[in-house]
Amino acid sequence: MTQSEAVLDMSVIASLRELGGDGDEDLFHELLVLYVDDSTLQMRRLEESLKSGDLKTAERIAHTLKSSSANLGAMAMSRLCQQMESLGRSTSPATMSELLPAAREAHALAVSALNALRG
Amino acid sequence: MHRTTFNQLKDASLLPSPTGVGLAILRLTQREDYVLGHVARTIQSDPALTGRILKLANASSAGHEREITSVEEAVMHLSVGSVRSLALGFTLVSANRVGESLGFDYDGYWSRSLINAVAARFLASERGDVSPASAFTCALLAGIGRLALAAAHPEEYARVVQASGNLSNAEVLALERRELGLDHAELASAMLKDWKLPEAMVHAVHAFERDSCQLTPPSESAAAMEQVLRGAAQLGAAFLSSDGFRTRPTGELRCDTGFMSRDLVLPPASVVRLRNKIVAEWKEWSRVLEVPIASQTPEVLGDTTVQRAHPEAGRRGLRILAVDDDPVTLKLLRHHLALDGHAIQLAKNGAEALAIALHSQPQMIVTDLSMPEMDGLELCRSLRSSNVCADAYVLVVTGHDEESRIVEAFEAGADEFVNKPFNTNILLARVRAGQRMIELRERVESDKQELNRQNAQMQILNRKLNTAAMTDVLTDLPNRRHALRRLEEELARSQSEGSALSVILLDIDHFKEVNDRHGHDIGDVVLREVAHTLRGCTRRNEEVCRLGGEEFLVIVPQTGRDACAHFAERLRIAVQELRIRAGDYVGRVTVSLGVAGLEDGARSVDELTKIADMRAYLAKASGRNCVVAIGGSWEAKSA
Repeated sequence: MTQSEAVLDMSVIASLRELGGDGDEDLFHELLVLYVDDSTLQMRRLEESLKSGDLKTAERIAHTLKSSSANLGAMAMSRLCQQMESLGRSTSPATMSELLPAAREAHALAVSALNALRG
Repeated sequence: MHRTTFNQLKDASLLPSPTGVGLAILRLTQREDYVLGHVARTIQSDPALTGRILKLANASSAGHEREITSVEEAVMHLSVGSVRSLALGFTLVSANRVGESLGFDYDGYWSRSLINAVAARFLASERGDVSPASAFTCALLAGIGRLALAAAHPEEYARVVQASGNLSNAEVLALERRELGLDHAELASAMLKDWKLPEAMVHAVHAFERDSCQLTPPSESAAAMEQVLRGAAQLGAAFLSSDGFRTRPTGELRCDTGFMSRDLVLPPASVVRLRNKIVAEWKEWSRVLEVPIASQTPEVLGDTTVQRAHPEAGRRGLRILAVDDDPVTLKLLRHHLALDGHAIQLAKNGAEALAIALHSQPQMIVTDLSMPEMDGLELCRSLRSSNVCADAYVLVVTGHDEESRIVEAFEAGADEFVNKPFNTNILLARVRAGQRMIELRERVESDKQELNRQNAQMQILNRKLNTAAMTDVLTDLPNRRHALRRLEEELARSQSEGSALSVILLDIDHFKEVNDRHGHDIGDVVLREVAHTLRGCTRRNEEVCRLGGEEFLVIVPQTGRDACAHFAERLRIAVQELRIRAGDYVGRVTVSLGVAGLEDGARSVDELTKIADMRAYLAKASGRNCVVAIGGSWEAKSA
């Protein structure tokens, strides 16, 4: 199993590749780049909001990252975001922050897996 | 104009009105105690409008101070009233850039209004006693009556415009009244009043459109605004000559700012400078307001399509606005929806979405729920409470863990929901179902418009019938019914104001003999000629009516009996000097006149006319062809 296959849901990747139709993979690549850039930005914002105690924003970002990661097949990342999101609703920033290291790692893995597909 | 006529037009949604933000502001400021912050925030929701207001605020401050960058600052600089008027004005321009009347040159109309607005702003700055921003708005909206006529009666008004070629303003107004039952001056007044624009503006526009020097300004500021408007129109016309800008003004430009005549005389060098400044600013505003610069070519019949702000959808597609804070989702949405033939706009949060929606009016909005700045629920609520987008179809995208919010979404005004991550086929199916709903709504709306159109035509007919019922067919003068009604109004006014009122009753001498000797056809000619002569002697506020037979009544408001007697004498002479020719007949007639005024102690229309009648009788008894303004025994009780 390749690194990408371990981290990403390949059926999702496959359907994304087919979006452009007839071997046109431009859309797929655009989506890839878009996710990599935007999610990196969102991760930064997530950390900032947790640091400043802004639970509401942190929860919203986790919610968004959850969907966008799922869109690109990064299921582990998506699940972690979902956990953070539900934590956000009930508890303190501290608890949500505990998941941050895992999230960072999952994100890094997803990004590198996706980048590997760009070749 | 009659309240009912205006209300009918307004209720039938036939008149141009501010929409979207402009309408929101209108509603917000219905009462005196509105909150400034709300007005400012409402304006801010429309970035285009905010930009325009700031632009004007900065133009008015003429570089003396720091640049104005927020709506609050603009309000402090210009005053709340000015900003409110500007917001109304600008949104009216946006919403009525094009219209349905094929014979009406919308581009030319807005182009001319705009240059007048710029000129007005300059004049106001020169004078110092009129707010430049208000002057701008006033001139921008001065012609709104014509626009309204084009909107309410597109085909009929197009015909009026075609026939108007070389007519004077007064003749055009008369033509409009004949063809449509109302004219653009009274309609403009009614609309401006309805929008609660300042009295000075309402007066200035009314006086200007009536071309009347007889409407007394209610205040100094109204008089000043009227002068500015007149001057601006002259400047605008001078700079917008019919062959575009190839003519350069060579001599002095004399700008008569109205009957109070504070002439603005400019030496040639200043004229050129002023012209260049005005034209430059006009071009800039044209760009900002998307009004093409049109020269004064005659109206072009035919297809006047203009590109609208939103993208063109495929034949069967919708205009859809997709809202989501995740760029990946937006991209996917656009991809799927565009493939299905729809035209897509994107927004990354509710606030952005609202601004776009107000401006380009999408038919459907697909939105995520949780977003920064304004979430999906709040977006729904704002859309439903706006006037422009209240009918957009809203499809909410919900995660499976947000199912509890589905009820909330429906309550906020959503039409349907779809789950995410979305299954493409289901998404498209939902969109198509929404499309069927939208098409149904639009059919209903267009049926309603058609009904409104028919209603408007019916109203024209009614107005015409009404006028006909009040008009004497032979002489085209108002008839007895109208005379009595008018007299009642004038009497009530005089009694409440303590002002004067007089009437003259005229009777053609020996009229029976004319009919007997020369026939009724000649008699008719005599009646028409006399009527015409009498009307030629009267001013706008006075009215000559035919009471019946050979009897006429002249209503002379604001005039005492003795002054009226002098007037009556002029009428007598005018008729005496009349030579009537009809076929072989050449003749003259004379009239006997009785004058009565409130000084005679009359307290009702009946009493007043009876006194005049008695004096006319006395005039006949004294040898005819004379005026009697005194005497006649008068019993307080009717005989």
